[in-house]
Amino acid sequence: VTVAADRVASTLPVLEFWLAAKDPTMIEFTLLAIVFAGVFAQPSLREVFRAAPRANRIAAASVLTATLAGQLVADAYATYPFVDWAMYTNPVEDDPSFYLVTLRGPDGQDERAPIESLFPGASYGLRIRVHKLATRMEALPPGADRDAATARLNATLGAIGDARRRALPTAPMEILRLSHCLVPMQTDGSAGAPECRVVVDIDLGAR
Amino acid sequence: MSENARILHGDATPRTLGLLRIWVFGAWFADIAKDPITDIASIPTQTMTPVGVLRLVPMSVWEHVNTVEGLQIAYGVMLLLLAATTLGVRPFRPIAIVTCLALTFYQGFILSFTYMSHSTLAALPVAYVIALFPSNAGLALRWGAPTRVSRETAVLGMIAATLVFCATYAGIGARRFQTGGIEIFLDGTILKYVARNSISPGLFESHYGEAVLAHPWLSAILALGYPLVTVFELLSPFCLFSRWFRWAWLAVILSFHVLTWYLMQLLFVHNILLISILILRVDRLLPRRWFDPG
Repeated sequence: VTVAADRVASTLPVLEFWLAAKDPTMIEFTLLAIVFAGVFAQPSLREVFRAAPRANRIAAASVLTATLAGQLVADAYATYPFVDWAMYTNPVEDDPSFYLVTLRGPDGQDERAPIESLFPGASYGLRIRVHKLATRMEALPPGADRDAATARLNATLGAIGDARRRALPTAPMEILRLSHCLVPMQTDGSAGAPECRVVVDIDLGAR
Repeated sequence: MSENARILHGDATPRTLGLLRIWVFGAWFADIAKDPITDIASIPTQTMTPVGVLRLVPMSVWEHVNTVEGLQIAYGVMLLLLAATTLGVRPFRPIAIVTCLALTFYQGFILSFTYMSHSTLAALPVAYVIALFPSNAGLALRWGAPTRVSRETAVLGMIAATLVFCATYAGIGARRFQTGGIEIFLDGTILKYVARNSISPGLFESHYGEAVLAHPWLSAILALGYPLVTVFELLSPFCLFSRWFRWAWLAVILSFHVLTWYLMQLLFVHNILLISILILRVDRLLPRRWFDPG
């Protein structure tokens, strides 16, 4: 498949050139402009807009414009609730990795921290939050910024440990461990067993 | 209306818009009701990263909100507002707009403690469209004189909601071509995403993705599907005009959502519900006379 796709790609030099344009934002803008120009060129849609009251036309146009503007500004944390949609759009060069939160009991047994059931309101989002905080912390050089990132990460992990203690007070855990796991991709495309290293241990008994 | 017959929702009536209101705000109600957010109070407010409009509120206010009592009140008020908007209680527009503002802050509060999850974010602008249109003219609690709404307004309301929803898919398609170019479809990126999401802990603890990657021919199907899905995402707004494209889009995008659910532990419930009513038109399963005001 890869070879065939490579051949197709190599026969499209114009497209390649366009996709390698210096200002990549223009590609997204151009694609969306072409699609929505095609949409608004439809006589049926223009008739619907013409026939509706002005206030409704303005309302429809405002929400659509804000939605598209949020996409093009490409800073979801600043433009929320109109955000850009960018999931799974970045190429991944290295082997994939993830962070694992585990809990160790007095018997030395490890179990995965049930973050989703401890925090139903935050659910899976809190797990991703830990991933992002840890990624940021590990990427920073030693210094004040790294210390601040470490404090945020530890506070979040500590809250997970506290929630576990409140949920099951009769079966306390001693250590909350954050590990970074690498998934080695094999040459045939399959995924190997994760290789994990410890990032931080939090002593829950001392909290 | 001659041209309208050729466009999706060209036959919409005020009751169709009413059904969309119940569908969208009812889904929000169920989603929020099942997961109270009081547990977030145990996460220190210092770890909060306010998103977008939430930055307009000082951190000292969030410290007061982020208590068990504060979040219980927010939860109760949110459910009350969502119930009122779902039922179309009058005065509709002020109530619906306040509900949307509250919903924006409620969801933003969760995102500020977690990350920018998009699983609910397509349903937000659709809710805004519903709030800005007279969506309580049909299928709503009513006392006093009925709200008069033209059929043209209902058609535009349904089309605006569909366009806004499709714009989110078009955006992701365009972004993938921008940041990934052609290479992203050739370098096995999708297989790495599947491997990571399948092996790491997630919502469903399913490892189907890992199993699929063990079979090269299944991996090849995944790799081929990636550009196909992206093209359909980019062209999503054309669902409004072309019946054959709409059915092809449904086949590709619904398969995509099911596959990401099983292979990547990603479930976009609001999106699937919106596809059901905006693209698949589940309202057509109901008796037509329900929607004809007569």
